[in-house]
Amino acid sequence: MSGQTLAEKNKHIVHEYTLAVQRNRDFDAIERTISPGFYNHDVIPGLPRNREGSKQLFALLWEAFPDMNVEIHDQVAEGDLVVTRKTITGTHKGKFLDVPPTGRPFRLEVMDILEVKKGKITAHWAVADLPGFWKQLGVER
Amino acid sequence: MGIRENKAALLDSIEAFNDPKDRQRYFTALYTPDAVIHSIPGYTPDLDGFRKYYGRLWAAFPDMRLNLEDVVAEGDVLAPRFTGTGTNTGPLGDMAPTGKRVTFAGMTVLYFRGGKCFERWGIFDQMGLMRQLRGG
Repeated sequence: MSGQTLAEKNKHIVHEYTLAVQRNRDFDAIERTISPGFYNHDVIPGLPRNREGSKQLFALLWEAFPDMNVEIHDQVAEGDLVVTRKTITGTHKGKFLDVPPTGRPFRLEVMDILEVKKGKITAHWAVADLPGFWKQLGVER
Repeated sequence: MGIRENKAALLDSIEAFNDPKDRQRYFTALYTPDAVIHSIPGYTPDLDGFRKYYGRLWAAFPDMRLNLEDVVAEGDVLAPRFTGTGTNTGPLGDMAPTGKRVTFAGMTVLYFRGGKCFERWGIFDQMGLMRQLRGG
């Protein structure tokens, strides 16, 4: 991997991590890639902001959306930061938060920033089109 | 034109955005006339649609301000993360003004050519904003 810039290496780490947890149901990737000191700036209410919270989040998402997948549209990286523009897809087949399964498919537009230091993910920020998501499930929020 | 010019255009446009008297300059300071503005449901994906979209938000939040939290720059692309704040002193569509002060997060990915953005992807935390307006 010599000759790659830090930003390119970090992009690769984020790309692999995103596919692992949002396409391949590879929970071990969390322990492997997320730093013990990780801080999640934008977390689902009620979940811890640390690495343990990420494990809980993906367990919860895979329970609710067993066919979850992700399309990565673009990545922008500079120094420690990697921005990813992506679409998460799935079908609502299990309880999500307090909402019983609707059986409906969705496409959720997401942008996130992961901070990568010495090869490990140390922080996360995200925004998502949640009104669009709930509308597709036919749920009033 | 490079990252420095692109960042200068972004900062200049935010300064215009944050000044209610100078706000219309936001669009010309940052975007090419034929810019494609993606992912704003209900509006045409161009500057005309974008002006209407912000016209509606600025009517609801006349003091709206953007604060740049981070900018990730690579080649011809800028990816800013920002926080918006505003006071809901005007109607938002059918909703009467609540008088509430809101804070919301947003991110965009901006593609540049000749120092101006010709393609924009953006998401802001609309769910959080509506929750603050409706909540106690």
